[in-house]
Order: sequence, then C-alpha cells, then structure tokens
Amino acid sequence: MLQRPKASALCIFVAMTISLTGLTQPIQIQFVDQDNQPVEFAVVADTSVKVTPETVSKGASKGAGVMDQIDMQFSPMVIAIHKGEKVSFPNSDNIRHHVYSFSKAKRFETKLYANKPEAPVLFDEPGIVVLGCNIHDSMIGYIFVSAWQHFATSNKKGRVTLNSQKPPETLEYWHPWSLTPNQVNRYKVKQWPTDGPLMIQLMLNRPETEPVMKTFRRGFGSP
Amino acid sequence: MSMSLRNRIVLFFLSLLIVSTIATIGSVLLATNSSVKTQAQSKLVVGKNVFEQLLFERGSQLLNAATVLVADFGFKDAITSNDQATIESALINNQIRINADLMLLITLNGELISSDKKTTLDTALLKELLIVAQTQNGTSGIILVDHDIYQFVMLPVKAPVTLAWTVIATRIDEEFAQQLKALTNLDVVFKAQNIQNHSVIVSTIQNLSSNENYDDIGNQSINKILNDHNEDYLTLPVKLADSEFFQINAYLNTSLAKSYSLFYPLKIQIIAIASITLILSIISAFFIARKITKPIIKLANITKKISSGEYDEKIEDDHSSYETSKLSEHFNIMQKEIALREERLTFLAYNDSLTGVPNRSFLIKQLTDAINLKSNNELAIIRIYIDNFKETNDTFGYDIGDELLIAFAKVLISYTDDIKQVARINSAEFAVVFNGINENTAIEKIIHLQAILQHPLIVGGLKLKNHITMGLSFYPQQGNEAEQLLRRSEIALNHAKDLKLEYAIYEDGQDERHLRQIDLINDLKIALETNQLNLHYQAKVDLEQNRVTQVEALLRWTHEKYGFISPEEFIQLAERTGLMPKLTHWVLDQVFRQANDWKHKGLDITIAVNLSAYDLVSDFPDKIESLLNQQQLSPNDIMLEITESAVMNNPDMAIQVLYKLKKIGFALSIDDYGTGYSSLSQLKNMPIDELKIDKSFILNLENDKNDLAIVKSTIELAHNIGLNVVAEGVETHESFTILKRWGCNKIQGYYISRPIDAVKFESWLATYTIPQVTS
Repeated sequence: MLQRPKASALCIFVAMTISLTGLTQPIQIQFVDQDNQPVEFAVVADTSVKVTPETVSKGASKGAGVMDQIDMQFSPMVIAIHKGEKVSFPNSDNIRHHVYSFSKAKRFETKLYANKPEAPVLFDEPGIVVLGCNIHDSMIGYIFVSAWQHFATSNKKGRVTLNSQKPPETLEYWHPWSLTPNQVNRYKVKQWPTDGPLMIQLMLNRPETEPVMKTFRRGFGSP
Repeated sequence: MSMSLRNRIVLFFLSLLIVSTIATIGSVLLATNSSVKTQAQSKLVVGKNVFEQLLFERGSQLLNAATVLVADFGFKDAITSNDQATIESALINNQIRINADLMLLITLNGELISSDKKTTLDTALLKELLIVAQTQNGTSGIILVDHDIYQFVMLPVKAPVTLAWTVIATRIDEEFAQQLKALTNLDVVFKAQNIQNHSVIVSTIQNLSSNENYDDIGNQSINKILNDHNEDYLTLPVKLADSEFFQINAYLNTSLAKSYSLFYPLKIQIIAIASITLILSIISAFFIARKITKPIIKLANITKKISSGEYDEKIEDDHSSYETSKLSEHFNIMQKEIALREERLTFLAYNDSLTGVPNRSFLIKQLTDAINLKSNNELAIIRIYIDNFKETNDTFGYDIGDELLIAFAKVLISYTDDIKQVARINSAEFAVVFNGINENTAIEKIIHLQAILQHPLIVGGLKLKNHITMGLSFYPQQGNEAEQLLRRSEIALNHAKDLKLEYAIYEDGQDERHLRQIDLINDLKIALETNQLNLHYQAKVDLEQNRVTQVEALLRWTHEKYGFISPEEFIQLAERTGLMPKLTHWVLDQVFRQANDWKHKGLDITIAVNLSAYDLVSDFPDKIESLLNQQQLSPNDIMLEITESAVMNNPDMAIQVLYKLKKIGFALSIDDYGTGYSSLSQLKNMPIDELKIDKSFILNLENDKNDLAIVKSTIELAHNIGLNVVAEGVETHESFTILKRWGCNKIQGYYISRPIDAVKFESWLATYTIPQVTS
C-alpha cells in the first residue's frame, strides 16, 4: 500500500556522505523542508525489523505513549508508538476535552476532565490516527502506530537517531503536514553517509490558522 | 370653384389649432413616456440592489446553518461510518434539520453521495467546485442541478482534518421568486441554461409565453422591452452564474403598462382640454369670419345689382368696423357717380348733340317700343330732307348751317308737341313719327307739315326759305321692325329725290331691289379681288377681208345667289359706287394679257374693249398707255368702244380724252349708235373710226321697213364722212345678206357666234367658215 509517488521522489534530495567508520557511527537522519529549514515531528522507521508482542510487552518504548492536552493543544502534536501499545491522555488543562478519532487505524472517543485521568487507549492497528477534540476544533494531534521495531520522531532540529543494529536499507517516513498526510512514504537508502546524518527533504503544507467561513462569504450574489 | 373667404379663415384657424394641439399632446405624451421609462429604470436599479442583498442574506443564512451542521460530531460520526445507508440517512436528517432542499456529500476522491439517490452531478463540475473550495476552504453560489436552480454552499467536513466535502443548497423556486417580488416590487425571472441548451425558468410572470423572449434580450441593456401578453416590460438582467456547464441569469422586470396607466388620467385631461379649446376656437373663428365676410357679401350683392343697372340701393352702415363703414360710404358715393355718368352717356347716346333732339338710335328704340307696346297701332314714319342745307352751308358757312338745323328742329318740336317724336338721323335729315295715321290719312298731314316747314326761318339775321323732300313708310303695312321702316322711308325719300317729287311713299319691292343692289355692290368688290368675273369674246367678221378680224370683250359675272348678272346692271352699280376705275383696270389687264397670248399664238385678232363714261377722265389715256407698254402691245391690237350716251354726258371732256386716245393710236368706235341724241355734226368733230349700229335696229331688220331705211341711210352717211360701220345683233342669214349687200364693214351677232370664253373661241375660230351670200 505504501507507494512512493513520483512527485515526492522528485522532491527528495539525498545528501550522500562517505562513512569511514560505519559501525561506530550512530544512525542519524536529518529532515528539512523545501526551504531547507529543520522539520520537527517527522516520524521515520526502520523496515528491517517488525514489532512483536513480546517486544511491546518488554516496554520497548517506555514513556512514549502519553498524549497530553496543554493550553487547548495536543502535546506533543505527534507521538509514535509500537502497534499494541496504549496511550494515555492525561489532560493538563483545567477544562474539559472530548478527544476523538475517526481514523481507520483507531476509532475512539474519550471525555477528559481536568485532573481526572481516563484509562489509556490501546492502538493495535498500524497506521496514522488523527486526534481531534469535539469541544475545541482547533486541537489536532497525531499518533503514528508503527508496525516496526525501530522508529523515532524528529526533534526541533529535525534530527532523528535510530537505535537499529545496522543501517537499514529501506526506511518509512511520514509527516502530518506533507501533501499526502494519509500516506506513509517508503524510502530505499542507496548508501548511508559516513560523515553525517542522512538528509531527507520534505514538501510541507503548513495549515492555515484563519477561520474557514470568512474566505468566501462575499461570493454570493454578485457575479 | 374657389373657396369662400369664410371657409378659408375657419380652415386656417382650424389647421393652426390642430397643429398646436397635436404638438401639445405629442410633447406631453413624449414627456410622460420618457418619465415612465426613467422611473422604471431607476426602479430596476434600486430593485437590483435589493435583489442582490436578499440573495446574499439568504446565502448567509444557508452558510450559517451549514457551518453549524458540518461541525456536528454526530454528523461527522455518521459520515465516517463507511456505511452508505447510514451516510444517506444522516444527510436526509440534517437536510431536514436546516430546511435545505438538497444535500450532497463528496468524498476527497470526488465520489458523490446524495440525500436523493437520483441526483446527478457532472464529475467535471464537481472537480471544478472542489478546486475552488479547496483553495478557499469552501465555496458558494448558484447552481443548476438536474432541473432545478439552487443556491448552495460547499463546505469541508473536518474531523479534525478534512474528511469529505458537503454541498448544501436551497432551491430557487417560484415561492422564493414571489418573496423577491414582494420585496423588490419587480417581476423576477430566473433562467438557467445548460450546455445542452436545456433551460429552466422560474418566473413570477403568469404564463410566461416562452423562453424566446428572454433569449432575445440576452444580457443586454436596461432598455430592452419584453413583450408578453401585450404588456411591455423593462428588463434588467443580472448574471448569477456563468460557467462552462451552465448559465444562470435573473431578469428583473417592471411592467411599463402599469407605469403608463398612472399617467392615463393626465392624458385624458390634456386631450379633453385640447378638444374643448379646439371646438371653442372653431366656433369663434366661424363667428369672426362671418363678421368679416358679411359686409363683403352684402357689397357683392349690391355690386351685382349695379352691374344690372340698379343704382338706388343704399348700403346701410352697420358700424361693424371702421373699414366696412368706410367701404360702405365710398360704395354709396360710387353708385351715385355711376348713375350720373350713365345718365349723361345715355343722353349722348340717344340725343343729337347739336339740336338736342333724339338721334337715330333713340328713334329706333322709340319705334321698337311703340311697335311692341301696341301691335294694333298705326304709325307713320316721315323722313324730312332739307334740300338746300348743303347750299346754305356752302354759301353762308357752317355756323349758319348749324343754326338752320337748330331752328328747323325747334319747328319740328313745336309742331309735334313731343320731342320724342322727332329725331335727327343724318346731317340734313330729320324724322318724325306720328301715331294713329295710315297711308290714307297721311297726305293731308304731310301737306300741312310741308307748308309749315317751308315757311321762311330767321337764322343769323338771314331769312332763309327751305325746300324739303319727304319719304314715308307706314306701320304695319310696310314693315314691322323699326330698322326696316326707317330704311323704307329712306328708299321712299331717295325715290322722291330722284324723281324730284315733293314726297314719296314707299312702294312694295323697292326695298328688295335696294337690298339686292347693296348685296351686289358688296359682292362686286369681292368678285374683283377673287376673280369671280370673267371675260367672254364675241367674234366680229370683216366682210371686206371675209374673215374674223376682231372680238368684243364682254364682262360676265355669275353671282352665287342671284346667278347671271347683266353687265348693264353691275356696271351701273360700279359707276355709282366708284368701283369703275378698278373694274376697268381689271378688264384692261385681262384683255391685254389675252391679246398678248393670241399674238404669241399667231392669231391676228384685235380685241375691242367697252369704256364707261366714268373712264373718260383726263388721266385715263396715260393709264391705258402704261398698261399697254407693260404687255408689249401696240395700240393696233386694241379697239376702244364708247357708248354714244357716255360721250354725250360730258361731251367736252369726252372729246378731249378721245383725242388723246386717238393720238396714242387706238382705234375708236361709237357703241350703241342710234340710241342717244348725238347728231352727225357732233360725230364729225370726234376722232372716231367706226360706228356701231345698235342691235335694236338690226334684230328685226329683214321685217321692219323703218329699220331697213335707217340702217341703209346710216351706213351711207357714215361711209360718206369716212367712218366704218359695224352691225351688232345679227342673228339671221337674211339680215347678214342685206348688210353685206349694203356694204356694212363688220358683222357681229349670234349668226356668227355667241360670246364665248377664250379657249372656246380659239377652237371655234379654227373651224369657222364665213357663210356665202348667194345672188
């Protein structure tokens, strides 16, 4: 299902570096956007090792399964978890939230009260779950449910470090503002760089913050 | 037929008023029409603003409702259920909830899910809408779906990212159109047309006849008029949607007829005012015209009377105007003047200016009146001629002559006691008419009158005794017309003068002869000019030479009315009327031509021409000589015959002329010898060559002893004094024989030949032989 569209292939620029000491070097990837600015919240996964129930139970990614609500925003905006893990929604605001998802990977809703944690929600299907709040339309959050053992989310500097045993041959990556936000992109690494991170450039479509209605109201009546 | 002045004036005012009325009504109509249009136009402009505002408000309401709807969690839940039935039922539910007419769901892939399963929408159209909606987070407008026009909004369904698109629409139906009409006060027509040219119309105009009316106007100007059920509309088109899939327009209409109807009372008022003005003006024009023309007609009637001789009708001044008063006054003066002048003219026309008695014209009028008045009356017309008037004039001068006439007239007036019975009809001629006198009783009166008139008159200190001659005619015995009676009295007078009588009474037949003579005198002039006269030639045989040596030229006139006129008669008339020189000239001219002609033909013939006593005047020889020379003839070719009486009339002058003629070389012959009183001693002194014995002695020669004796002795006597003798009127062989035996030189008469024309004469001469005399 995960096909790499031609358009995105054209947009990706891979900076190749020669690795002098391949094994000792951490596996790092740098995400930039079309303006060469670092991209946060990009999720990348090593497709060489699948996640198993055992590894999940060992708590391979401890602490990752928390999606807080701070200042009427999901925090962080994106989290990535293994398939079969639970995510808790602690609600750090002092108002109510009504978190829901109509995504295929997980449909659910839970009403969150201030300082009154609900039971964590189990995500047992890989895919992208879009979170919304029925009370606050502007709240949007994403949970990347990974089918793979090794994955990571880029930090503010756009840097990701994979904890894989060896540099993977193929990668999966995704970002909520990409032109195809419902698709996960697959990427084949020809040669890992030796003197720095693997560079992946993304085409992003930053969401508008302006309210919807005002843009075309005047359109009625006069041709 | 020319138009009367009155009609002309009325017509002029009428035309003027009609023109001005039409102009007034026309300008009012134009102004109202233009006002109606202007009002309608501004009404449309205002209406359009209201219309657009209403459409916008409706859209806004729809948008608000739709915005709330797409944010509904339950709605989102339902449409993400992936269950078609659930989705459709959710759409229906929400459609009802916000009172929309149509609700569609479009997936991000462009699949269409509808509340109404039958609804179809072109995929291309959907894509177009999606492109617009994605960039603007939604769109709105007017759309044609299936067979309905909708106002729609298209909004994303977000959960929280966009999951699908929804279209929510309300139908633009007649109910909505009626609402618009109620608010804009305009008739509203929506018209949508898709690419297949299928059109949908929503209208507030009842029974809108067809689409075509709107096709005609398209998106044109504000002034286009829509004809519908005989109503004119002013239409303003408003474009609502114009895409490659369909065109949707709204047309705002305002009925002009209704606007016009507002001005209807005004128009009626104006037309009524104009009509009343027109009628009043015609009536006043009629009266004014009558006032102007009335005196003119009156004057025209009086003028008519004046022309027929009535001058006594006074024109009453009706003081209608200064001009007509003036005209009337002058008219009256003119009438008086004309009457006076006519009186004077009449007097002059009917009166003799010298004596003051009536003139001939008045006499004729008087006579005519008298005849017509009393047909059984008896009248005597007496013409009185003063014989000695000319002599008095010559002796004592015209003044005395005039005084004589005046005195004479006074005598006549005092005698008759009535000036109207007297008239002066000629210089020395008066006429008196007596009533109740006939031919038998007249004589006594005439004798009495004559005695009075011959009584001496004292004129200019002179005592003059007058001698008068009178001619009489009587009515009714001798005519029943004034002119006729007057003429007959004149004939009687002339008769009396000729016979030197004291008086004469007209005799029957005199007038006819008189009239015939007048006719002949007139016609003779014409005959001379038109060659109605001709010459015949009678042969003369020379007994010594025993051949035809001479012809006598004889004038012939055949009158159209009276037939053959004897030369004696018409020559006598010509002599009396001074036509003789002309006639002689004509004859001589003809004769000389003939003589010339025969000379050229080799005929040795002398032509004898008769001369009248009137030809024997001193200048005649010169005239005849010049004529002779013109024709290059010698005097030997011509012989001149003069009657015995012509010579005896004025023997001294005649003999003088004859000598001149003789001197020129003409041979001279005495015609009709024996009928006059000439003596041989006189003949002896005349330069003549020949005697022509009158035919009265010859015609019966052989039977009359006296004639035989006279002729025999005449021949002997003539021969003795050296004259040749010609005998005319020879009709028998016996007389021919006797004359030849006695030595008569020439013979002329029917025995030889009748007078014949020149052509016949030539052929006659060619075959003629002289009769032989036996013993």
